[in-house]
Amino acid sequence: MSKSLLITRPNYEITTRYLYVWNKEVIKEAKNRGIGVMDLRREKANKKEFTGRMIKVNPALVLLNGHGGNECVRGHNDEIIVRAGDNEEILKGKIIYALSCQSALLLGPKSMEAGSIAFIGYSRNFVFFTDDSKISRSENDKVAKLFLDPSNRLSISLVKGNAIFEAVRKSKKHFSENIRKLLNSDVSPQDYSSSLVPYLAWDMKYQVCHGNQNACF
Amino acid sequence: MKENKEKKKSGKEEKMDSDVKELVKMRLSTIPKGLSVSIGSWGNFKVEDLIRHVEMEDEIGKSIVEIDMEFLRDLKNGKLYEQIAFDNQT
Repeated sequence: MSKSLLITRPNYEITTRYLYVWNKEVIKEAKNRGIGVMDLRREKANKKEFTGRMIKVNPALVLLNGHGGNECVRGHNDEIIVRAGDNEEILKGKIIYALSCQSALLLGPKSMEAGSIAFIGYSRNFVFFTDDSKISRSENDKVAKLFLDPSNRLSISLVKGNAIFEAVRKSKKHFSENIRKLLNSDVSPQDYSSSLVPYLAWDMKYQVCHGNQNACF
Repeated sequence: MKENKEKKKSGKEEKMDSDVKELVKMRLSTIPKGLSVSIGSWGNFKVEDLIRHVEMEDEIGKSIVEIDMEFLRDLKNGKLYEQIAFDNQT
């Protein structure tokens, strides 16, 4: 297993654009640590490229971003790149973090049966808010930051070599901090609102981890 | 009699409680203008779209109701505060 990471970053509509932009920070952290990064971005986030790189490079850490379902993760233009009952064996021996709705529900356990070390993801839809005025400059979107920074904490913690349970703890702690921030009545109503708390709480609650939580990258 | 009660009960479960629906719509209306939400693979929605989906009781609307009602339940039974208090200490 090579100490390299593979990340998928499709970018073909608003949701995937945000994940694409937000994961730049994760890639930067990995490169700063001298970790080999296979960045399958935009149209390269397709099944053929994904399969080929997974076999050829055999990364130890896989970060999947994109739409999905309880049995799959999708790439560019909604193409399914990994699906339970089809090719989950490709995840064998790896740590996977999937920011892809509901994939932890079925694909997660199936990947464990196929021999993955761990699968971290969401067992329900991942929900996040965006500021319409920041669509063209997503990296400056303070509203999306409330939701996507906790996800980044998890990825970055894994990249740093922390144990999975520690990475998950840091992510949930970040969600908690943002919830407390929103519940604080002193903050500016412009950027923050306690009305977003249910959605943060939802994402935090349904982030789940299958497998060996003591493992690390 | 029992059969009728069961039919009535299943009828209630199929249709969203109107009080719940109005509550969620009202709570959605407190979300600041100019924000949109990405929900799973369904895509991006403005708040007014969400209110409409809740009114229509479609899958998207039901999902929003579930998120909001689960939050309110967890708030009421202390689970949410337990979680954020625990995460603050660790």
